Amino acid sequence: MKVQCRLFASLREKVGAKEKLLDLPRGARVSDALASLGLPSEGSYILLRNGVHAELHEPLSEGDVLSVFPLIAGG
Amino acid sequence: MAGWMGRVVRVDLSSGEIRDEPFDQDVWRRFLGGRGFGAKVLWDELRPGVDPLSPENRLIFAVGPLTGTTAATSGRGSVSTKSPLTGTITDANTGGKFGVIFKKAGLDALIIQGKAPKPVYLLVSDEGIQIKDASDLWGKNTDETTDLLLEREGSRASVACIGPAGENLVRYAAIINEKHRAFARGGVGAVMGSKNLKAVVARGLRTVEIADKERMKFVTYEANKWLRAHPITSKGLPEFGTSVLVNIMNEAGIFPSYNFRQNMFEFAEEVSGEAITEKILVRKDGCWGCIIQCARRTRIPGDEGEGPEYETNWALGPNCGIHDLEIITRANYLCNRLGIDTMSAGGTISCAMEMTELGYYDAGIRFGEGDKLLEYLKKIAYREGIGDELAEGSLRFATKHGHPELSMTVKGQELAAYDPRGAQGQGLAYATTNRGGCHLRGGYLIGRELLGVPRMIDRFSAVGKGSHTAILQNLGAALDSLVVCRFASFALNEIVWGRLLTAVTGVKYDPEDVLEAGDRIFNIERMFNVREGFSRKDDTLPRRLLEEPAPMGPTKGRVVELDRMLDEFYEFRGWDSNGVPKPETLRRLGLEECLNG
Repeated sequence: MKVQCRLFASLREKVGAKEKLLDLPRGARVSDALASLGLPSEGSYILLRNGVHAELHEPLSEGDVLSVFPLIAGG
Repeated sequence: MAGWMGRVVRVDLSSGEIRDEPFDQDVWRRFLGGRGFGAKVLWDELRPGVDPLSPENRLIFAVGPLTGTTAATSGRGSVSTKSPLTGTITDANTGGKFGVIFKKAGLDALIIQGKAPKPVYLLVSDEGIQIKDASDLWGKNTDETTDLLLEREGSRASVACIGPAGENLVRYAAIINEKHRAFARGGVGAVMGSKNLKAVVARGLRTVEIADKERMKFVTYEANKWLRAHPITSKGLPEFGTSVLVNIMNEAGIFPSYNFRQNMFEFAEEVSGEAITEKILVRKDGCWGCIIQCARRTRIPGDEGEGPEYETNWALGPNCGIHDLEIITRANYLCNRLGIDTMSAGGTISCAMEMTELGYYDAGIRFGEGDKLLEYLKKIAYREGIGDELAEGSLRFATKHGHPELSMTVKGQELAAYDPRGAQGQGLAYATTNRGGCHLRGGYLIGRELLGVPRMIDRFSAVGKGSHTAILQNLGAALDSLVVCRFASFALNEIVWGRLLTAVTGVKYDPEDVLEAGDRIFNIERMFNVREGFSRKDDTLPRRLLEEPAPMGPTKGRVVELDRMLDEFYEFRGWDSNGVPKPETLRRLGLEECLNG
């Protein structure tokens, strides 16, 4: 299944891309997507699946957009 | 005396009298400093109904016990007054170094009242305090004023001044220090202008006495270690600055645009922290003694300055339908020179844009018109043409033309860059701020609802948000009174602040004492507002956020469920159902002075 990953802030340099279309096996979880991106799952991230907070163990679905941020703040 | 300098000075600009006030140590222990001390003075001295732009209003510059010490992020300063924008109590807090130099001049606070017969500035130095002629400075922008005053008073001085906007009593005029930093919100610059006070210049070399130097050394070391280890204060903020929030707020569907008509912006990436780093960043920068370095030194064709920070970037950009980073940055620099709060300026112009687009009133400016934005900022500062109406803020402008619902304000102050329809707690926080629409004084719920600091809570739920909001409001009030930066609190909690405070002052502050001081400060501010006639009816949000479902993305279909959150919040705070602190609450906080108010 196809999952669109969007990367932000320092993760763009780390992964070498702003966006990546991943082809993952059915039943893959958020942590599997991170592994495909070469990001350690023990790292600290803010993860949004289709704009809503996601957990590492959460299963993904075909066509999902996964946005991955390092820990950030401001305001 | 340790921590505090032990000196409060009152200046009456009408009579020219300058006199030392008795230093009441118990007041400083209970209210800490900065915002807390300002609130106490305003409660004690201002009769209800005073016109904020009259000589009777007070303008209180104050610092805190940690200011100018080795405590993390203690390079800030605070000013308090009654706001000409909202009619509430207000305080504004600035970075840079003004607060530190002010304290080195040997003062904890300066209470200014009256009105000078002609333009003046105040020199506050360790050699004395003087009222000096500023006739030649009146009309000059903040860059020119700063340069001239540094030439006159020496380059070691720090200048906090107003620009044309403050002189012309724009209701959201700011006070600008070191050219790029602002006591921004609530019209503090207009209060200064109404007193014919062009600038406060601080100069001094005194040091702050520390009660327990060994302990201070250790706690400072420990606090800095936390700041260097925490991913937000060590990487997130320094690497991309505050505008790094643009993309995450947009992805989550809570990034307002077009005067909150939309809750996402199609050009967000173009104004993101990542874009700032790529296109206009010269170097990162920071306040006095700060290791976080979140500020951005930037350059655009023909000009250089600081910013835009996240809120400014949004207010002058996406919320006005503008995505040209160069224009936004230029508008930011212009606001600093004219001495205007970028957030209320952006929120007022976006309201005028929507009025025009909807055909309600032709303000002559539409969404996306960047060049006109620059022109309108000048018109506002000089109150020229339509600028005279816009200088009153979006609520007065929209009300005058029959559509107050298009003013995206709380208690008359323009909101910040988070659409609360996708962050319920932030909606409650906005509604219950003591200084009107503000993401900081109301509690930065976004930290918990979006950023997961210290832990993630459900942003769509309206349950349990009352306690989260009140606790963050209390902590924020304490931090603004110490006076330290909100960003440090991403890494440091009240335990660390209590230990720093104890080491500096020699007075024992447990973590709960820090939070209780914040609670006390928030409640005396609330009592000030209650005395001015504010109540539950004012703890509300623009109609759009309560009734119009968010139109896009992950937040689509949601509104703010305010009423049920308000009940829970009042109960947690010990306020009655009309939002008035109960006598037992005031007694618990030792606010006997408010019992018969």
